[in-house]
Amino acid sequence: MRPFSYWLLALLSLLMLALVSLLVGAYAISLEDIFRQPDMANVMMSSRIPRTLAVLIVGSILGIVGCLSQSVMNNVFAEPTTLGTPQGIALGLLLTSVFLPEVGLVGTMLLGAGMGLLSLLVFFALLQKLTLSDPLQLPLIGLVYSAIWGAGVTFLAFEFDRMQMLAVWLNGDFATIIQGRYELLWGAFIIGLIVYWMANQFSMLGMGEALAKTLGVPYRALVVVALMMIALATSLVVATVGMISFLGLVIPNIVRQYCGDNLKHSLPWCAWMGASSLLLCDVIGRLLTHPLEVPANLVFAVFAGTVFLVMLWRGDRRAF
Amino acid sequence: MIQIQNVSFDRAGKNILDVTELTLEAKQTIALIGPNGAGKSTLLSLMARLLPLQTGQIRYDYLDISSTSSRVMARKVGILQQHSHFMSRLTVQDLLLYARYPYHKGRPTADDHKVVEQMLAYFELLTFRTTFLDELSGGQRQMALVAMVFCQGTDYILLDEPLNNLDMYHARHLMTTLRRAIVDWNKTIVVVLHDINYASLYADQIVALKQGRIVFKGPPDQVLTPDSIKALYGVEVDIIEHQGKRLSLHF
Repeated sequence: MRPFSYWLLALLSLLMLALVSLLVGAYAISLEDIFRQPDMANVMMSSRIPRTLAVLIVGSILGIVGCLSQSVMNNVFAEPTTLGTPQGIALGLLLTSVFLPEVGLVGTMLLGAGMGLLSLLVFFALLQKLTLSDPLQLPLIGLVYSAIWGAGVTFLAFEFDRMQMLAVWLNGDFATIIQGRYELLWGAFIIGLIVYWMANQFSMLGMGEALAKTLGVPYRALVVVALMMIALATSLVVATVGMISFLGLVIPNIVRQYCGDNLKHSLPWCAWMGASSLLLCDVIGRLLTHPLEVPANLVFAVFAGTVFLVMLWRGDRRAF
Repeated sequence: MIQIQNVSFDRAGKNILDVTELTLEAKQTIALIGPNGAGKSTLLSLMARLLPLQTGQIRYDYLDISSTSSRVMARKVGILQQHSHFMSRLTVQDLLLYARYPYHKGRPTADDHKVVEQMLAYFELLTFRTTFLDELSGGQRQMALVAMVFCQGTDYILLDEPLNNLDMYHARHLMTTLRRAIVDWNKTIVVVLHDINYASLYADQIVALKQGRIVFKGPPDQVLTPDSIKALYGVEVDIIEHQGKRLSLHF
């Protein structure tokens, strides 16, 4: 098959999935209903379409961000969750919501991203000091590192009575997404496009500092730009729907098996696979305890956990 | 021509390299030899700007490495390091295209693709062009990395122990290919070698380092003697002549 036909197949399956997502929910809607019953059209416009779009954007951007993290950190186990980024962002969001409530949603999100960037920069600097004998050491260090940020943010959330907000930020759930509450995510969509546009440059980061430098790549500057993209996109996701853990870890690792580490080739597939698997998980979450819902983060965690265990079982640390 | 003057390097308060004066002629193969810890890799890293110069100067054809931008240097000198840790699920042709970064800045042109095609053919990598690097054997991988450095299109190429972990066939194949490529593409090569006989057979000049200092320098058939090797490695060897080349028997 030519690459073009793969893409056609991929897009068709995603469209089908999106259609299912539009029709499934607390109320089952059939295609005819949309045109006959004005109520149903309303549900469509205000809830189902925004929700489906939100899932698609979040799934694809987290796939992209995970893939980018792995190139920057030069480690296949890197992704925001294993780097403590959501905790850093949550700290930024929390501090802003307590001390600067007047900056509004965009301001809060940007300050969250700023704190996320700080946590990424510190982690990156830390990584330069260490020589990992096994790539698997990165998520272990990341676990300890995110626990430090997590402890800080939990303490503050407790002090300021914001525990519930914290739980929302760290556990992605699309049940509350309605029109007017997800539009910020288009910002993440744009970041995804920018990352793809710079894919060839970001691929050079995966060559490591020494090789990149001898090729005249402005390594440090590019690292900072990449980390900014990761922090911004993750912050947008955390602030609107909450984090989906490990999506950025498992999806890019499955994709790189087939597409390799050339971001120009792998990023679109990371986006596609992230979007479709998250949408599938969200639909399953809506059906499992119908008419109640299981959060997408939870359903995805079961899937991601299984894939992660298989990765470890196969013992191949270089590639999944 | 590479000129190295008063280059000294300290690590953790200990001097590990001190080269007062070393001039390497262009269009030659220069082998760096010496025992482990002699400072060969450090010298190469300094020459490639992977380590910052602490003192002295290094110049390539009057281009001073400390005052020339890394964009210009990336077209002047390329290096293949001993351990290159990178995301290795790249196809051979992508790897070669990445080496053209100094020219295309991430937006490859038809010219870059042409050079890649040329090098794929020259280094007999056409059959592996879409194979991922981590699926190649050690010998093929090393050949792909060498082709990568040649793709960079630099006048000077630094190779740090390229024969490491290669079997007899692949080591020999790599050295003969290199020997040919140097002439065909007009390169100057500085290569760190552990096997003195490869240095003797393939190098125009040998530079011997010990404890960070140059012990001797010259063409193999002049400088390789039982005494010089004893001074360098502390090993008694016999030197024999075979087809006009000196070989050391150190077993």
